[in-house]
Amino acid sequence: MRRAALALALALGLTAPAMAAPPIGILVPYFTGDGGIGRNVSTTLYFQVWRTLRRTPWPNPKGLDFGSGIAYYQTDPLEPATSDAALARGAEAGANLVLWGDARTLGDGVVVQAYLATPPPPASDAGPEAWVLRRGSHSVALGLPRRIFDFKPFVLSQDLVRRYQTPEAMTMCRTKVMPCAGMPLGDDWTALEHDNVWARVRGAQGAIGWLNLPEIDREPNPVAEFSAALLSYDRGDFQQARDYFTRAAKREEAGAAVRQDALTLAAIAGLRQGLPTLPELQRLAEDDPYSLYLFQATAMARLSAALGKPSEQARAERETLRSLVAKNRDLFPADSSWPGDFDAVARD
Amino acid sequence: MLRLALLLLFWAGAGVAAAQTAFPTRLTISTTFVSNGDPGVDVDLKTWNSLLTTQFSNLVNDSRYNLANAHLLNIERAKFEPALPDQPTLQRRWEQSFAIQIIAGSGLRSGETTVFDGWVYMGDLAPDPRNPQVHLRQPIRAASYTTSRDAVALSALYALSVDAGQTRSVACPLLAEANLIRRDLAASHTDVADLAHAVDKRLLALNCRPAR
Repeated sequence: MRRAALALALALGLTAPAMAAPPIGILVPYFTGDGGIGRNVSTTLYFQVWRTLRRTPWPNPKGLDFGSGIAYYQTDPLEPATSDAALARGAEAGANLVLWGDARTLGDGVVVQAYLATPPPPASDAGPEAWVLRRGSHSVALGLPRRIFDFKPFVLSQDLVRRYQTPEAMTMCRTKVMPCAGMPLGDDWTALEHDNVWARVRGAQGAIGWLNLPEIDREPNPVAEFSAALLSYDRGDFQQARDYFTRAAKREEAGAAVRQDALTLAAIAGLRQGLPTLPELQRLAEDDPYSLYLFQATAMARLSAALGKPSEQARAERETLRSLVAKNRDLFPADSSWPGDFDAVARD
Repeated sequence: MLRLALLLLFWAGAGVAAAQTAFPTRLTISTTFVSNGDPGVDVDLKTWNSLLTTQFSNLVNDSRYNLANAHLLNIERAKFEPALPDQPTLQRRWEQSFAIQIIAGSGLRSGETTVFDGWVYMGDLAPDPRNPQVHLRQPIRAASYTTSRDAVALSALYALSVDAGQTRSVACPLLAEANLIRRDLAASHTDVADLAHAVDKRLLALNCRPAR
């Protein structure tokens, strides 16, 4: 049976304001795995992401409101565990991101392999995911570096494996006091709110209890941090996105590709908040001179700085950028609109 | 047979629209294991193959590689055979199945650990066609899964880049990703050292570095 539980990470309640943009959501189907391990790994990751959702920053001098954010879980693992199946499941649930994977015994331990997919947004409205520069009626947009993020596998500690073998690994306390005689979380639950280290959860029989998040969160990992960052980015919460991307990138175990994506998106999130992060992008591009996405991001950052300025220096910079993009044209697929769009925005 | 017929039909169709080649042009990845008769070893090999298969399917489906035919890729589940195929047999299978690569090897027990000992056969897509296979000896353990996964992914990305020929918009992102994966592989991982050098050479040969 497939159940989708919805959790809105706001103490403000479940209802989105009338006429507000549709909520941005993440779907976490149970991971495939032996015994209760797949279920408990995915539930842990779910809570780690869910607890990061926020409607507004604090403090909030600019009066920002990121709208509703939703995290779903599903008890049916993906079968097959492919990106196509993930995207289809995400579309069905109305989720913008899908986090799925495997937790399997391999030899002497349990290895967890996780993926994060995000479907291409509609061309008419890419939302906050697209970084858009405009000049007159022209615009150029840069989306995400990839649509399927493939995390480095990680090995569960023996302690977690022991605890995750049973469905009772996730238990709720009646009050926010540890240790407690727990009630099983079961397979059908709704996360209601988070309060510091606790999550208030309603179980299948209507019982309401509290999960101690540090207990399940004792091993922070780049999968949850990167997923939380991308969800924040998609919601336009660039400050939090930058923070979580930076955390994920600091973890050596994330692997070179995820760390590079995280650092790149952290720098872009910074630019989109008005921070001077072009040097960060330039350093990344020096470190990986073959990344076309880093070339695009750096060119966009430089163009952003040169747009709308009448100075001769800014005009020369725009011409330089046009020339660079033209030189690199055949690194892009023939049907890519990005080089032409960039040229149209940069042209005098 | 039916799959082969479908592939041939696909090629016939692709020939009509040859003006714009869709990649990859080779569409299968297969795995052959030889069991040592130990059921525990077979289970480890199957799990390893299952994880690799899922990972590779998700890796190549990302739109950044501009692989228009990625959805046609057939990544086969592992087959167990009584003996390892020799090189002429692998070459014939590689040609007849339009393979990108064939993983072939034996499962062994070394103490408490299962070990895969074999090759990634890349045929004409190998860095050196006189040596069409990369030797791979990997313990099948949770802690070393990432290394074996990266080694297999590195070879597949390289092979796909060669399949893409001089089409930079396809070959370069594949090589750029291979270059990142290479960073994660320990420098001492000699199994794929030659392949890593080949990635470097091809990145330079295709001038994959964007002008800045």
